[in-house]
Amino acid sequence: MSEIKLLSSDQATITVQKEVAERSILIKNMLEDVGEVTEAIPIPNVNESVLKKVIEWCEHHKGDPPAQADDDSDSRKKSTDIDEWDQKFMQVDQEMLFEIILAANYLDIKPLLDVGCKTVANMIKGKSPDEIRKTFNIQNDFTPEEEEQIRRENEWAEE
Amino acid sequence: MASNILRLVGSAPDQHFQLLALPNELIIEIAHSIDAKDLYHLMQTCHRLNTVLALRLHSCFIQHKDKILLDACIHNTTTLIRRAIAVGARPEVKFLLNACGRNDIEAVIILLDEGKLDVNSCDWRQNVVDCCSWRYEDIYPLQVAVRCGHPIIVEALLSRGIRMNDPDALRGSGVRINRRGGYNYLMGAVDSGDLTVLRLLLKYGATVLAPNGWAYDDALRHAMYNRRDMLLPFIELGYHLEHAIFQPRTALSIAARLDCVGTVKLLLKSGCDANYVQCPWLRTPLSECCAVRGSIETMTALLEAGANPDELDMNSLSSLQIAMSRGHVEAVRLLINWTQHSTHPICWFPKRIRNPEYLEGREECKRILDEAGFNTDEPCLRVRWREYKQMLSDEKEDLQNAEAVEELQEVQEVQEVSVVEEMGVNVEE
Repeated sequence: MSEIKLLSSDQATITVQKEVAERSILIKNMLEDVGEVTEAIPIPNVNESVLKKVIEWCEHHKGDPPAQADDDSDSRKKSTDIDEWDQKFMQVDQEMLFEIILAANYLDIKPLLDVGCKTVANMIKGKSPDEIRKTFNIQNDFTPEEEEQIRRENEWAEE
Repeated sequence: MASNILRLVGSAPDQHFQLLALPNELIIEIAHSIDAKDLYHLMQTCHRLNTVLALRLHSCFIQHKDKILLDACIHNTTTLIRRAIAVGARPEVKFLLNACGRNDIEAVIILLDEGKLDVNSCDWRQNVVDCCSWRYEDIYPLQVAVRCGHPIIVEALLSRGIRMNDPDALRGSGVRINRRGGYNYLMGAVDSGDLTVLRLLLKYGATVLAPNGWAYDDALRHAMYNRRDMLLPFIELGYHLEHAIFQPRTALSIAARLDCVGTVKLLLKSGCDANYVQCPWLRTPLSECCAVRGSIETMTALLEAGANPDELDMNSLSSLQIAMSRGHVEAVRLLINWTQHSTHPICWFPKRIRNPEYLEGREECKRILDEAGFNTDEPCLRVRWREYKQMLSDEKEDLQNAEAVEELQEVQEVQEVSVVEEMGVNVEE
């Protein structure tokens, strides 16, 4: 089992199994393009702690079957459907969650991105606009008229 | 200790997930995992999210268009109905029925014109609608609008060519649950009592002869007995109220009996004959009126229109006699000015007294007649109809010349024979 090295943004080198690293479509494509590499692959957007976390996830999921491309609309909707290990994995602080999502997006790890998004979606679920603002620290930049207009146009969604 | 404090600070509640720091595509990615309601709430938080997620919400709209249309139709939000139809939602028949019942013209027009609902579709059956506190099943939209008295809706439907009179358009229409029904449209309009609706239906060619389900009456008869104010449109259209429909009574005698002075005047004005009876022995409108209430206004209207106060009914009673036996003092006062016969045979006491109140007026009536020089001494003179006719002609004999009398007798004889034959009595007896 060959191993490759990854270089995080803060210059930390992490050694992972190639199989694990290939959960990332970005790395997988890169490896396919360049063939065997001995030096560390730079991952400029991801720091060491986040990269470790991502690799932890990839190691756990290395045996997963490849994601089916076609049934996304159905499986995606059920955002509560996060498996237990992933739920525990996502019990991190908000900053780390944010970084994981960005890293998963950058590294093109679709299942991890989904888990991250679903975790955020669960934070939105069932909340009023005010509660959402409070959760995400969003400043309300609407005038009362604009608010009223949005309400009028999209009232159907309340049903 | 210090590390504990640090950990507490690290997980402080004011630490927020930086949603707005995410790129748009990731926000949209997150939005894919939440339903429309949460999406809507998220969009209400700030400008950026509103803009980024608008498209996603729109695709939710398209996804749920049929349910949205249903809700919009229930809650009467026309903009939503229009929007849902525009993205391809297919309206159902019951939506139109509900809109018709609610008198929501805008929704009706959208459903018909933009939703392309066929007004004459045969799929109207097996729909149950709640409107006007009644439950209807198997009902057509026009029937709903007519029943609820919504002229604007009726006009909208009629102007789009809805069929009214052929049996297929009426089959099963307007069955009111828990009540005998199955009216045609005219019947429905008369029953609900909306003059404008009735006029509209007549204008677009509805006919009283259309199939009428299980109802006992047709629209005109129903109007006559129960909704006299609904008669006007029929009269305007020239329906023959004297004949055909109200056998054996005429519309006028029904109106007189019901003491409905407005209808009486209306009918007289429209050209009804004040003396017309379907069969010679039936009461005239005037005697119908005397028999019931003896209303001065109704009687005056009839007399002024030429009603004959001396015509006899099947019991050989004239209007004056009837009025007197019922003790209608005012009616008697009125009639003695119009009757031609001062030697009127007086019927004092019919064997059966239906109403004790009649007795009170009788003495007064007797006094009035005595003063007017009528012969009131003969008790309970009830001549047979034939004999009385003869008496009348005898009186006229004195007044007119011989030639005229001969002619009159000939005419009367012919009349008598036919009448008596019809009554099953042999003339020779």
